[in-house]
Amino acid sequence: MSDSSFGANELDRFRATFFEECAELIADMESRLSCMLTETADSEELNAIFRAVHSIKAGAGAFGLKRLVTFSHTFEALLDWLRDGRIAQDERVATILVKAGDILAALVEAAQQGKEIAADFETEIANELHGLLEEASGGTSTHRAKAEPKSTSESVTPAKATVDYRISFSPHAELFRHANEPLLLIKELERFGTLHTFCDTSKLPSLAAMEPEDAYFSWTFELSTNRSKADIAEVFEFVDQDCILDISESAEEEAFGLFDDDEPKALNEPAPDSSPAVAPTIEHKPAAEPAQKAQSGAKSNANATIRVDLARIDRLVNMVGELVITQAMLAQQIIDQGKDQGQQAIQGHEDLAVLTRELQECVMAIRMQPVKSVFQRMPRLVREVAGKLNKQVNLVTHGEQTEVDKTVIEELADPLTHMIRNSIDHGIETPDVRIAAGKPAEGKIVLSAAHVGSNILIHISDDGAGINRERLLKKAIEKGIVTPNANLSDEEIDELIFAPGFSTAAAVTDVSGRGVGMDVVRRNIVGLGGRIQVQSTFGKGTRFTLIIPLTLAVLDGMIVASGSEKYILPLTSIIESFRPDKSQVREITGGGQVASIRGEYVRLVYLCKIFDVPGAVLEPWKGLVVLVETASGNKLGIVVDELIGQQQVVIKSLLDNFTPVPGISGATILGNGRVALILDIEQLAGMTERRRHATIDGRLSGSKPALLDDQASQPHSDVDDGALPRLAVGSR
Amino acid sequence: MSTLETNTENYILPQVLDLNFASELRSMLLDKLEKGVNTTIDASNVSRVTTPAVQILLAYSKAINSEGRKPTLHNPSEALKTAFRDLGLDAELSQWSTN
Repeated sequence: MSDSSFGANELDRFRATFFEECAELIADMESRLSCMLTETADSEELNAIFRAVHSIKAGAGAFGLKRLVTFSHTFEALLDWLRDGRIAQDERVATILVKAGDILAALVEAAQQGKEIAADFETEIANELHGLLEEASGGTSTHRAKAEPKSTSESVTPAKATVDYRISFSPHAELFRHANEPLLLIKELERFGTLHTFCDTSKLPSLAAMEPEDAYFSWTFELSTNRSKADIAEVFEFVDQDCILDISESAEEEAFGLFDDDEPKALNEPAPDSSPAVAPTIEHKPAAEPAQKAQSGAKSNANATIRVDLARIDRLVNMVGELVITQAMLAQQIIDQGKDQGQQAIQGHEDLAVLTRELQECVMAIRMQPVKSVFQRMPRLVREVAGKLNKQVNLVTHGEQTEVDKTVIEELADPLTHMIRNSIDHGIETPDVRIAAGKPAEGKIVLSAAHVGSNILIHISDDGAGINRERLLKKAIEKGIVTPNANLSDEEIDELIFAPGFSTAAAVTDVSGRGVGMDVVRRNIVGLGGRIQVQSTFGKGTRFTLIIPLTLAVLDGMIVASGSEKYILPLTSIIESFRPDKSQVREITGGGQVASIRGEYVRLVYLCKIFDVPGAVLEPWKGLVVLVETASGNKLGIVVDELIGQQQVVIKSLLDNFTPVPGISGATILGNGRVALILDIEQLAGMTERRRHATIDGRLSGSKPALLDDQASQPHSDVDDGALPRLAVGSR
Repeated sequence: MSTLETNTENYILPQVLDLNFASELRSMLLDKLEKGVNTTIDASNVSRVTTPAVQILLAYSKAINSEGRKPTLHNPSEALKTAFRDLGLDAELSQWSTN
């Protein structure tokens, strides 16, 4: 297959598919490897892990990802010996395997993102893998005697006659630099039968002239085995671009060293960085061609596709068929124009509505995936971070099968990573501190997911030190995030951890402590249309709760009217709506209005003033106040003319067709064809009303009594969002 | 090449003779060679050997042979001997003096 017939687009697509498969394989592999830490894996488990690594290796080879190939090759060799029983399973081996799994995952991630990683990133673990292999092959002849020969392709040839092969293996100079080691290949060949090795050292230059990392030796092997030529070729599968290889049976000996015209020459195309000068003559050919342009462009397409359960597709197709039939039925009814046409049309429309709703659910189901794919990344993270900090942490996960939209899943990974890292760094104490506090040395982090209505609820709780509110508040005052005289409730103090640039870490570590974590987490979650809350008990632990809509494609909204305009408020944010009495509404010092409801004051925001809508109701007691809750748990009263009704709306991005509008998160099309804007509660809470209205009606853009001016001027601040009225009222 | 001197130095190989160590090994042996120092290479600690290191040891051995001397290996470990054997270099290893 040549480049002319195999375009870059196809390669990019295959590459994207490869990485999607890698993600699934790694998730499965990590879960099985984790089990090996506590129990001995049976052959089925080992085979599954082996297959995962082997598949990654094969794909990586096809795309010229040499580093990945090399590491997975060694990893796979160890797994192969493990399942053969040549290496015994013990704690040490399991630990090395888990680490190797982590490295493999990191290498895949780096390859996918085109990230540069340190040249010696995998060296230590690779050395440990090599060490285990050598231990097993060197000093354990009894193991070897017991071992049944088994090829890496799992294709054991039964009772086949022994054949003599002659193998000529002439490495290119760069063989070692591509992390290939002839000794391992030779050991593999030894497993196949009787091997005689002849080394040609004639090209070895003088010590002064030699390049220490170049390969100078070449070999001729005579192998008597019942294995096929393909089996032998597979041993050299991942060095075939770094050598000249010829495998011939004894009958073909005369052709040794020459290209035999009768032999199929499945020539491997050179990798992007390898010399194309000499073509190897091996029978085996990787499943796909190396991708010269595979590194470019694939990143943007990496998440463009999803794999869907076939049953879901079938259901969708059936539903679409039903929809078409109903449509045809309606059309026919209109054509016929019978005397009871009106009644029939109504019935048809009702059927159509039911089917459409079901169709929509089917389509949504296609995008739904279990959160397992994100949760499975966390044990590795916990191991890494806990290891760096010398802490003992046990991660327990629940509800991995809870499904959520694929887009949401992708966006969840970063916030969860941040939070778990923070929990280990700031929450879980070191073993000695825990023991002194009467806790078990090993800390516990629980990560759980569950469906609640049209949201997914994710809890991250730890049994660590909890939030030290005194220290937190002191730090916040030091940093000028709150004024010294601020009267904050416990919840409001806890909320300070989401303030931008805030960190209570005693020392900045490479794990966390730069104060860029939790505010980013909140922004990400709010960006998903969700909310994050924190509950903490000092000395006992901390629990974060994430409430995120199941999908970003549709929204349960409340249509509200302000003047001649209609807006959508996310239903999940709405607590209640009420028409206040005139006496409930008060002007506050510094501008703005608050409404009193059950003893609590909430700031009033007029949509008509923010969006310049003429003809709207300007007195809350003549219109309605919709009480909404922001991500930080603060309340806001949105003044509207009336509530039109509840409706599930399809979200259309404004960014695709327009520029961002403050206070608006997106748009939708109503049943009458008009565009309605979807309100962004978080932004509304931080926005000040337009100046010309402020001078007339409220001057809400004034000072924020309990907050410093520079903080108050940040419309996105996680601290000041919606905090103004409560702090202002509390300080009066 | 400098002339043979009477003094002998002991050079202890590390446990791991991998690609990362190849450059250092070559520099070290080249230095001994150029200074004409009689060197006994102590290979008793070696537990892991890779082909780049074997190439360097062999190049060193050839250089010593070309001066009419025999390279000296002290107590070569099983790992080193196995590596030479597996690579088909039994004969080359036998040209070293061992003690």
